[in-house]
Order: sequence, then C-alpha cells, then structure tokens
Amino acid sequence: MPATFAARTCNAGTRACSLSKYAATSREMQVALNLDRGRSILKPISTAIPRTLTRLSTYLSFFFLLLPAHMFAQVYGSGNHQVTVVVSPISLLQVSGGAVSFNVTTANVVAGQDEMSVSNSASQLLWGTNSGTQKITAQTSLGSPLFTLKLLAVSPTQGTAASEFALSTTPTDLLLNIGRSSGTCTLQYTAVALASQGTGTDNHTITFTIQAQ
Amino acid sequence: MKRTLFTLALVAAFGLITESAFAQATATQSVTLAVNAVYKISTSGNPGALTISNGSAGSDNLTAVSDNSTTYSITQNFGNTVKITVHMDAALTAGYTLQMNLASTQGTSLGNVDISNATSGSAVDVVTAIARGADAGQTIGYTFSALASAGTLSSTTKTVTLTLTN
Repeated sequence: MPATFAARTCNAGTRACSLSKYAATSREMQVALNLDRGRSILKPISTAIPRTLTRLSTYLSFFFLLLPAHMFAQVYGSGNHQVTVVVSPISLLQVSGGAVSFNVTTANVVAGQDEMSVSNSASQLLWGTNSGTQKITAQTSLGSPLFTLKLLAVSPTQGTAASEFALSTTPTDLLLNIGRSSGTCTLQYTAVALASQGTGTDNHTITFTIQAQ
Repeated sequence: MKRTLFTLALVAAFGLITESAFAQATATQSVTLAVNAVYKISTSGNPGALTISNGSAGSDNLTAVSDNSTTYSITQNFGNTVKITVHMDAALTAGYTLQMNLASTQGTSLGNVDISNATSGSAVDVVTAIARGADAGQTIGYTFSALASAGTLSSTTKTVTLTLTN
C-alpha cells in the first residue's frame, strides 16, 4: 500500500515554498527519504554498486569453493586406442534321447509281406548357429548293413526337412536352409528288414554334421 | 613392405580357415537294429460247407466235393527248411475223408494230403522247404469224400490249424 508523504515545493525566484501530500511508490519513497535527509539521490546508488559487487564476489568465492575439484582439472594430454571384437562362426549340434534300439519281432510283421518295418521317434536333434545358410547332414558308420535304416527330420522349427533317405556312409542332407538361429526337430528312424534277409543285428553310429550349405 | 603384406595375407588366410573349421559341428547317436526270427501265417477265412449229396450207382464212393475259396499267407525269416503242418481238433469218423491241398511259390506243396486223422499230436506236412520271405494269397483246397457204407453224417464243424514250423 503506497505511503502518504508531505512534499515541499520551493520556487527559486520567489523563494516561496509550499507543502503538499501525495501517495508515493516505493521508489518515490526512497527518493523522498533521501531528499528528506538532505542527500543527493545519486549518492546512495553510487555507493550501493561497489557494495553489491563485493557481496557478489563473496558469494562467488563460496560458490567456487563448493564446486568439485575435478571441475578445475587441467587437461595436460589425451590418448586413444582401438578395441577389436570378433564373434567367430559358431555352430552347435546335439542329439537328445540317447541310443535308439529297434527290435523287429513277429508283432511287426504282416503275413504275406516280405517287408517288415518298425519306426522310432524318441530322439530329437538340437542345433544353433550364428552363420548364414547352413545344412545338417547325417551318415552312418556301418558300411555294409544287413537291413535298411531310414531317417527323416520331422517338424523342424527352422529350415526345411529333406526327403526321407536310407542312411549310408555318404553324408546325406537331413535339413536344409538353416539360417542364423537355433532349432529342433524329431528324428524319425525307420528300420526296414525283409523276411527274405533272415535274422541279424546292425549297430549304427549316426553322425550329424552342421555345415555351410 | 612386400614381405609385410605377404605375412598379413597369410595371417588373414589362416584366420579364415580357423573360422570355417569352427563353423562345422557334429553330434553322434547309436542306433541298434535287431531282427529276430519271425514266423507269421494267416488264413483268409472259412470255407463253405462241404456237403455230399451225390453218388454213382454201384460205387461205395460217393461223389466228393471240394472248396478252393480260401487262401493262406506266410512270412518267415528263419531259414529255408520251414514247413507248414496241419491238424484238426478231432479226427473224422472212419469212412469219411478230408484232404487238403496248399499251393506254394516259396516251398514244395505235397498236393492232396489226408488230414482226416491229423490231430494236435499227429500233424501232417502239407508244404515243405519254404524259403525265407513271404508267400501271399496261396489257395487252400479242401476235398471231402465219403463211403456210402459209412452212412450219413450230420453237420460237423472241425477246426483246422495250419502251423508254420521248422
């Protein structure tokens, strides 16, 4: 709320003075007070500036003292080096389910048919590769088997299953077009024996290989 | 300078070879396949009733009747000395004769064989020297004959068993 002041106005020529009241703003109050004390209005301002600067410098000194020391660290030099990272082509292959055993008995035979067959789908093939287009082949260690052992990749989660084939010592495609991924498929073995071939036993070691297509 | 470049090229080449080697992986699995001795024989069904209703005047032998409507099939891998034997659950009364004739491509058919008195303890051979393999849809022939002197015979059912054995 503006204060009410009494102002004295003097005429230099007549030296007559009059007193009047008016509501002053804060700035006008300062001026009025200064006038009232008989001092120049410029004098307090001219002395206030250095005082303000002094306070400012004090504050700034405290401010800089509070800043972390490292902010004022000097850079005396710099260096750099190169880091080389390499991810080699990695391919992994695993068979789950253990050994497979077939036993052709009378229960698997139809009278009048020479061919006797029995299937096994108890094992799975698991793979993973970070390389481009790959394929998986299969081969047997048995050079002269008595009976035929066929293999088919069923329901592969990646890639394309090749047609069912008879295992031999020559690697034959089992899965094609495997990209950078991991996947599984069921290994469906089918043993085919002819009654005319008689009885016997074949022991196979099947080797699966994942390689570039 | 050339030597350095050559060395660098050699190192790069070995690097590629190593990467290719790691790109291939293998896994193995054991698979055992055993084929045991197998004997299998089956028949296609039952023959029709064998009914004698004719004869020749002046002859005790009535007119025989036959049935070739059924077949048998076999599969065996045991060997080449396998044979088929036949027997009935009970022998026929004297004066009545039942013969069987089994065709065969894998073995030797013994032609018409009298099985009238062949029971479980006295089975008779009908096919011998059957080779390993299969023989499908081979004809079974029955011939039933009777003597007039034996009289009539009410309907009698016999169970005939074919056995594949060595």
